[in-house]
Amino acid sequence: MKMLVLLWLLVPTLALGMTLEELSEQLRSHAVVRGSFVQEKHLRALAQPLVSSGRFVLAQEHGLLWLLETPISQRYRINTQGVARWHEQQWQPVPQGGAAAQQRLFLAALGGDVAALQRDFEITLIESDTGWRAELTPRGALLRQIFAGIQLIGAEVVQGIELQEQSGDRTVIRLQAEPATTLAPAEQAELDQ
Amino acid sequence: MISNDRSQPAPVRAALQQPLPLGTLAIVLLVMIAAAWQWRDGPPLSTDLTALLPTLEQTAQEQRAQQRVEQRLNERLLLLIGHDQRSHASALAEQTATQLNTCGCFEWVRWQQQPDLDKVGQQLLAGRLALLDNATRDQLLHHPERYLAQRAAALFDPFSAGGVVAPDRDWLGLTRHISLPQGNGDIAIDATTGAVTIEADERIWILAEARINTTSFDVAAPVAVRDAVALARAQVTAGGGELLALGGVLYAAAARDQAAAEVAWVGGGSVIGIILLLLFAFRSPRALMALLPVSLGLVCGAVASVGLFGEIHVLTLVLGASLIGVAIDYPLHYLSKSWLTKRQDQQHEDAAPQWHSLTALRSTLPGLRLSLATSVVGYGALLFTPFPALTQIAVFSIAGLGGAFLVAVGLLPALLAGTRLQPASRPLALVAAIERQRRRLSSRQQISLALVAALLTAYGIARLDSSNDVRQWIRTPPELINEARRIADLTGEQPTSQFFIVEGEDVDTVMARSRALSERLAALTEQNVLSSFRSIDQFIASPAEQLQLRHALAKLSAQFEPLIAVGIPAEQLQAELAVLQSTPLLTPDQALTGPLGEPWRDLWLAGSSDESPAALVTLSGLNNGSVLARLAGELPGVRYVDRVAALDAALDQVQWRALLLKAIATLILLALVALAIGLRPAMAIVGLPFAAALLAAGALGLLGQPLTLFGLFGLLLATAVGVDYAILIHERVGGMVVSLLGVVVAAVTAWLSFGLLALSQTPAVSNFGLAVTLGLVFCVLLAPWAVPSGELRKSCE
Repeated sequence: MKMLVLLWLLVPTLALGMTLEELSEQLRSHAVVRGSFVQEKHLRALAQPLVSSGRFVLAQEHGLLWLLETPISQRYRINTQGVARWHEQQWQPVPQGGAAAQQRLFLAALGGDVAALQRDFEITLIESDTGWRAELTPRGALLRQIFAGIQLIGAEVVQGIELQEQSGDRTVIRLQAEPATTLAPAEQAELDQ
Repeated sequence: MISNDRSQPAPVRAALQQPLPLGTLAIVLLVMIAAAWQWRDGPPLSTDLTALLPTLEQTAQEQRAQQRVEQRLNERLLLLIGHDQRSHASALAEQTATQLNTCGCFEWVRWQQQPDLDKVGQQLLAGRLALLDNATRDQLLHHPERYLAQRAAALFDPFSAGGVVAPDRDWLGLTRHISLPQGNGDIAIDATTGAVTIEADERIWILAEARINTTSFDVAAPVAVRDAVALARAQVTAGGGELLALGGVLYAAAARDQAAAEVAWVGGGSVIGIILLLLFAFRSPRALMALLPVSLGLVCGAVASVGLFGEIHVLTLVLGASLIGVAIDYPLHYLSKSWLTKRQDQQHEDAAPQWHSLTALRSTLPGLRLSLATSVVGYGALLFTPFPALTQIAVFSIAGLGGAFLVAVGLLPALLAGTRLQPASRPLALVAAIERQRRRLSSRQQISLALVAALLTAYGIARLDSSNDVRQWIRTPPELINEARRIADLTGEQPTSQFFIVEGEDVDTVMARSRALSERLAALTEQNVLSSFRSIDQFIASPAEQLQLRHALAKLSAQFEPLIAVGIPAEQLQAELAVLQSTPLLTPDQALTGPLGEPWRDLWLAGSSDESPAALVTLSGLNNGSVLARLAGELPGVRYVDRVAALDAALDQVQWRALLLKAIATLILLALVALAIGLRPAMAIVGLPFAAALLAAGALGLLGQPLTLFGLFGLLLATAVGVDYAILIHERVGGMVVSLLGVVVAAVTAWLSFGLLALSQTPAVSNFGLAVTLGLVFCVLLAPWAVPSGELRKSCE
């Protein structure tokens, strides 16, 4: 009897049956995703989170522009050359060092690059009425010393990322994004520069 | 051709009844037992080139530094395991590590970085002042407002989540500007496996490192490591991947393999050649017994070397194997007297005295003794060179020749007793014909020949390059060089044996000097003089710099506005500043003990109570050493250590010293020979080989070959052997032609061994072989002049 209940519970997921590959395909089907973000950094030591907001443009072929507007203005770019910061009227490469892995991780999460994420994380995909939720658990001891877990939520595109660190700090990023087909010439120029 | 004739003369019968010489047998047996005992745990072979090199004058500090650098070169094994797919690459890396661990020749094998991030975090926090990178320190000193503005922005940087140190423990973010050791830009750490990966040529390469187990370091270690690597390589290849390996120990193993192969084919080749020659010349299988003294002599040489030095270097063994060609001379001297019977057979058919071992020995013994004495004096000179390589070869040779002589004189005649030799007559006729031609030369013809030879020799010697390059002592197989180059391309690691040593009376001085050197080296790196360098100041600032930074930070509290504006409480910032003000200054000793210090530990030589501290700066991808040597001259307390160049210079010196010793030895030789046979013939006997050596040196020059230390040694050896030949001719036991033929046979056996050495792939060995071969050619050509023509005419009449 218990067995039957279990089986019945399993049915809806099986019926909806979206695989990671399909999700990845769906997320990557948009050549360009453009929108705004709000980021909250919940630090153990602070009663209030550090809140920031801005806009972003993600293009499958070109990379990511991350434009922080409040509380301070700062522009970041990730493309094949790595991470750069707009500083003194030019893009300056940010030394990768130990942070390179995090940068790649962030880009993969935002762009739905499941293959890249699967290399380092076990991914559990849960579907809901409004979309889906992916729970990422680090595979290796090294990452597990840093991240307790990562969650992605979304529908047509990724709508939220939550990074939980072992220290207890949390970063929540909410995205309001729309798929688009082309980059504005200015955006493309910045990304390909 | 062997017959036991009952109608033998009385002395022969007496000899036949004589029991085997027990004394000699006992000695031979003892030597064999000693050899067996010495080789009980496998061959006591050494491949360590440094054991053969002259010791350089170095300070204790420099020696320690040298040891460090060499240790790193020799004990480290670098492996790259590549595959098209990441998961396969890590599986293969894991498999390789497991497999290498089973061989027991490694202290550890590591392909995953599994740092304890708690400990790393603690060291980062404690080292915020000391380990901060230079650019950030400069910014804090000169533009703190820029630093703080950037820090405020970085708090909102989405990419910097998940640092090792949580933001509230380091609001100023200093721990994020402590540079972790990184190689090339393409090197990354795989977040899941912790593997150090390099993406290149559409492949994922995983970097693994192993430390060779030195506690049980024995001479077999290089071979064990090489075999383990070969096995791992086979497995990785079978798994569709590729393995690259780099380590000093692999070079040692290759040198050893090659030496073993050369000993085998030089030794084997000359033995086969000598067997054929003996069979052809003496037409009796019994004549092969002449090889007995040779082989026992080699055993004696090896036993003496191992006994004296604890082990025998492969280079000694290779050169020693060629000693066969000299040791065979002792039995040949009296075997060749069998032609005497041949000659008299032709002249008086009835009265053909049989060749008999003991009578032949008795007639040649004075010459044999003299020739052993001259050889021992010749090699003995080399004992006094400050050069372990020559000393070892001298010991090997003296003991080897002594052993061969003992067996040739004490044992062989008894074994050959009753043997009658009927040698081939054609060689005798040939030599006789040549000798007739030579005697027809008029004095004028002889003088003009001598003039032409002298001119050519002078021209050749003027062209002779006599410089030494210690790298010629070994031949590095091209596969290893190629692999090292690929590893250098992928990792930027191209270790060199050259380095800088930075000294000073205290830590601050050493650090300041090291910083000055680093600045110059950074500029030279841009100019491609070298590809990179490692220096302690890249890891830690001097106590003075730390103090300066602490003072600068104290003034920071007035400039916290950007951080406060984004929501960081002012009191927390002030509290952090207080912690930083009380953070103790770190010495390199302290900082190196933490996990971050591990890759830098070899660079610091902490001063003990009676010694001042010193730092090493190691180099990679060096293209122009002379620039660095000049640089060291311009900076106080900085020395450039280039052992290879220093050794080359030392070898040049040894070369002159060896020549001087040889000159002294020649005088002793002259006295020795003069005592035995009178001064005038002694001059000819010693002078002819000397002239032959000059001719050979000239020939080397004409051939465009250098005369290295080993070549010089070869010429010295040739003169020692040449003196033997001259003595043989001078003694003329059995007449001029028989003696000449004896010399020719002896020389052919020598060419068979030394000539083969000339084909060696190790430049030093081949130079030696060529020098000996040429020297002996001229010795044989000049040998007939050991008898003054007047005397010769008299003897013929």
